[in-house]
Amino acid sequence: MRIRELTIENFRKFRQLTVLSGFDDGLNLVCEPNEMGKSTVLDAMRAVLFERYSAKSDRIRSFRPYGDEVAPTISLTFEINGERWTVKKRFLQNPSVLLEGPAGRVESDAAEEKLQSLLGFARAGNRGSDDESRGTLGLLWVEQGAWSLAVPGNTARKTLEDVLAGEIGAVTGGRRTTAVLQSTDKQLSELLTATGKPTRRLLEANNLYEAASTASSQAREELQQFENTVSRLESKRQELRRLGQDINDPGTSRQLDELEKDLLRAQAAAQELATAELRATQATAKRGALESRQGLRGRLNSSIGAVQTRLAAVRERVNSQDEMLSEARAAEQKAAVVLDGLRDKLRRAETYRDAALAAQAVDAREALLRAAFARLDQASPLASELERHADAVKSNTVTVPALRKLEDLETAVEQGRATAEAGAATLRIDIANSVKDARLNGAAISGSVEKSVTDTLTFELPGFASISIKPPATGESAQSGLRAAEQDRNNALARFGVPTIAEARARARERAAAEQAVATLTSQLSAICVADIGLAISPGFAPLQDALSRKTRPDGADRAINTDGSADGLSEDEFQDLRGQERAAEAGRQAALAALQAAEVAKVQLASDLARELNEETRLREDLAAETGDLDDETLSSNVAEAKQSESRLVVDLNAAQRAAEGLNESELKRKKDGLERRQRKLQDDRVEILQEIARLEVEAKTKGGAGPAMRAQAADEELEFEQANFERLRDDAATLQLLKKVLVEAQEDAARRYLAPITARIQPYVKRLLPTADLSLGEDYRPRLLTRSGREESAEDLSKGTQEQLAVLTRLAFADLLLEKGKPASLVLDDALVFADDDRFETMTGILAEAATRMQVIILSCRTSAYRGTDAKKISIA
Amino acid sequence: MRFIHTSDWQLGKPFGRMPPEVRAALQEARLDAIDTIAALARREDAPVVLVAGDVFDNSEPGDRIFRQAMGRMKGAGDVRWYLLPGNHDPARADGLWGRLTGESPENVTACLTPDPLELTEGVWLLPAPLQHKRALGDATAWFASAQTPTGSRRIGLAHGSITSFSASAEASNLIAPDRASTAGLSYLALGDWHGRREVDAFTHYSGTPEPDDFGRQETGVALVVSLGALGDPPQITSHKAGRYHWELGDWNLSTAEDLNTRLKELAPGVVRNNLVARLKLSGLLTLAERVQVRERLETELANEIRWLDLQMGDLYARPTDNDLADIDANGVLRDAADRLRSLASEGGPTARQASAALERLYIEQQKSQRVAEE
Repeated sequence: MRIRELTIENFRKFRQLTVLSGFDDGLNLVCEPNEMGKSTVLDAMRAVLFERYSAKSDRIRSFRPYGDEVAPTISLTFEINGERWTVKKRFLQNPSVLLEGPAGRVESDAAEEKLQSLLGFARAGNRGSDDESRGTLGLLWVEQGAWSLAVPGNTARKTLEDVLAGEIGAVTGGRRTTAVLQSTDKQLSELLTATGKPTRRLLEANNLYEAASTASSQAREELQQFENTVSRLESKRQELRRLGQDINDPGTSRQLDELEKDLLRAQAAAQELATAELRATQATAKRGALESRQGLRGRLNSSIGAVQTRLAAVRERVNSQDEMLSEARAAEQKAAVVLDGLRDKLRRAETYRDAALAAQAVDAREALLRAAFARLDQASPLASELERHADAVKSNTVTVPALRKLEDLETAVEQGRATAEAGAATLRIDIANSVKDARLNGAAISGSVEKSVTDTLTFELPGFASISIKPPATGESAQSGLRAAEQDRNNALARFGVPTIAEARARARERAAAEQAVATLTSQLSAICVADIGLAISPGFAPLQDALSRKTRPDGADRAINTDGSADGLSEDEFQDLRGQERAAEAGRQAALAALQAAEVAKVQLASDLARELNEETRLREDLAAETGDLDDETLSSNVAEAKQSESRLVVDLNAAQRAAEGLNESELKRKKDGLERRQRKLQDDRVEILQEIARLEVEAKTKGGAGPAMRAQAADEELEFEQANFERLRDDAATLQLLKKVLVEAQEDAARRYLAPITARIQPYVKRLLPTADLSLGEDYRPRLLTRSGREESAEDLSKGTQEQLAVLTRLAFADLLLEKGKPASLVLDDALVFADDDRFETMTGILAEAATRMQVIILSCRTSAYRGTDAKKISIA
Repeated sequence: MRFIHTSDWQLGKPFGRMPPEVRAALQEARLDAIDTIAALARREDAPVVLVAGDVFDNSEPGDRIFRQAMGRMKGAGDVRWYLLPGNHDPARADGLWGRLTGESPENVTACLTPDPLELTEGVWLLPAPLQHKRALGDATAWFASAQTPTGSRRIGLAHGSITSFSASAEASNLIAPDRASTAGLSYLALGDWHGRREVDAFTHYSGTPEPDDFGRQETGVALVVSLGALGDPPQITSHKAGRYHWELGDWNLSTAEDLNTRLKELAPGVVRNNLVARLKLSGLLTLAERVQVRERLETELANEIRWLDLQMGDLYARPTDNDLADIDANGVLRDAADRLRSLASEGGPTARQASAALERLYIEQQKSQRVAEE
């Protein structure tokens, strides 16, 4: 094929009709600067040949000049097999195609088909033509920048292979190989993926195998579970049998019976022990009670003794008091008699005197005065006497009540002493007559002396011995009572300023005497110092003294007072004396009366003491009688002895009972019995549980057995074998197919190497010119694959862009040569093919192309005008 | 007194190594054997059937098999069935037999204890049930001392090997060979051997009524036993009961022609649909012949009979030049074939594979040629 003329209109840059004409058979150079539309020229050549005229694709639309709704129109004139053809295509608006050749014109689809068969390319697809559809020309017409080591499209390869097949001659069975390989591949794809992993049937078989494996283990597991259930059931049944034997074991019930009996014995022993303990306690209590009665009796007896001692003392005092009383009574009667006599005498004297007085009125005053002075004289010593006695009374505080009080205190001391002495030892000393100077507590004693030891007693025999006896500590409270009473008494004595009670009595008598004297003197004074109406002197010594102090004692003697001759007439002195006597007697009687009263009071007191002691004695004796009434001392003693004996007997019994009870521990026996019974109950409970478990297991065995675990397990095992065998068969199949495929591909590759030999042979000289030391080998896809330089291999893809580009051009040149030799000359169109080439390479390449141009048409589209300046090429301009 | 002696029903045998559809058919056939035996019992006026062990294939065949079996026996209500536990289905307390005693129909008796049973007046059955898969003692030992009324006939029912038959000292479930005479039996019905076998005039193995494996001798029958006069041996007749015929073929082929002869002789008289066959091929053929043999068996015979287990591992192909020429005179296919033949002759595991691959290439090539010719 040779290009002759190209016209372009309304195509991209070329709005105006543009004609490229004058293409030579050899090297043609379309050399224009950038932007002039070189590349568009190649696009137009492709469009007119390969694009369908009726297409409306984006690519076709892109043919329109920018912004114009016009119809791109291209016409190409070329020669092939010595015939001239012109194809004209109009796109988009009223699209058309016209092919004119030696046989005439064809239009539309017929024209397209004719063109395809003529040039050996395929119908373009919906998106327009591509490397696949363009065929050899597509391979040889390469646009700017698309130079690469790309794989030739199928259409181009087919052409090449057709050409090559002829070249190597004996290539038969190629199609059958493909068919076998395809069939093998198809079968293999049912088993393995491209990367050799199981897929589809093999995967399915594998899955089934795995599932069977799982099912098998599961079935085995289920069978095992069932077997477990059954063997568990069996063991539970045996357990139940053993349990039944245990429950009905006669030994256990025998043991229980014995324990029951032991328990009863133990209870009896415990009962007996309790009884013995009670009895022993009672005996001890009884003995204690009896012994305490003895103690009580002793105390009562000693109390009685003490009371009797006190009674004797009181009686003695009563006797002496009686004497005192009768003396006082006699004194009082005597005083009363004296007083009566005097009063009688006085009454008569007064009567006489009154009469005399009346007669003596005149002289009276003097006489009065004299009398007054006489009275004063008489009274003055009396007054001083009175004063003395009054002082004595004043200084003596021991009045009768005070004395009574002291005596009470003394009584208390006595009582205390009696009490103290009751618990005290008694010291009895019989002193022989020959002994002199024996002393007890410093006081001389003789004869027999008996003394309670209430305090330390010191018995002395001078020149012989001094013996001290101390009271026992036992009578302490009585002693302290005594000491308190003594203290009280002593305090009272001190208060009254008397050392002893006897002294007090003396002082009391002194005071009574003084009082009596005061009374006597007072009455004497009163009797003397009577009121003197005549002299207007108030009664009393003081008024008298006072009145007379301002008077002068009259001279002369007293004139006899004419008493009018009364026989009974008494002198004033006599009268006054009488009156004085009467008054004195009066006072004496008063005093006697007071003494009598005091004696009587003392008697009453003593009587009361006596009564009290008697009462005490009576009470004690009654108590003693009550105590001894039911039981005399002798019987009591024997009872105590008896009680002691009984007690010791019972203690022995108690010890025996304790020993008996120790041998039979009730709680231990009960614990044993309870333990046995609990065990029996537990066994019964266990039995119930086991029965339940058995029932449950029976159901479980039935359910699980119903599913046929043994059969399922066996079936699952066998199915596993089946699936395994199936899987292994398919796996072997896959391996066989893989091997077959591998061998086929190897054989095919070897063949391909043989196919490629002619192309390699044609490229080699060109490569040697460019790279003298290198060898280029092509892949089975006709792609430059390896560059071997000095024995070192380089992948073609790793070479520099420039080298890749140059190798691509050389490969195309070799293809074109091959086609040329097989009578299918094609033009080689290169659009700026050597942009990456350095100057040396460029020169070599242009040389090679120039050489090729002697055999075929070569069209170079380039912007590098100067680079091709020396080249012998037909210059075509875009006009 | 006439009765049927059968054994080794092996109900529920799974046949899991076979394709699913074959499994179902073979399993069903075992159950159908019960109906066949029931029909035989009626036809032969032998209303008592003694099953000498291995009624079921295993100790727990599941409810479906169990109920199917009981249902079929119950259906034959005029026949009395006596079942004995064997080594495959020993009488465990809580297993299959425990349920069976509770749920079996009236006319079915499970002989679970070694106690005499009166079959009819004057005829006593002495069963020797197995309690375990492997019993060490002789389960029939008690027969000699079994108490039966004087003058009565005694029939033993047992499962196991006869001592003298066993080569292995460890064999279990052994039965003394002279048990029938030492125990005064009128007949000893044995199970365990799947083939029918006569031990002596009084002692017989019935074999399984439905064959279940290859390589058994006379199998697939049930015995009808007629007791003679006391002391006389019984009369035994063997009756076909099985449906499937299991054929084991060990074929040595030297030419493809040999196959025709073999196929003609294969299980004569057996309905093809009831034939289960295992063919072990051996010999040395050309590649073309081997392919032909395989095709013949796989596409024809395998589809004619119930199941074919084809084992061609020992049938070798020796590819001839003609074989290779069939593949291609030259070119890529021929090259590949040459390579495979060379690999196959090297030996080792690859050789087998290469051999298979070569055969495959042969087949594929022929296929593609056929496609091309069409």
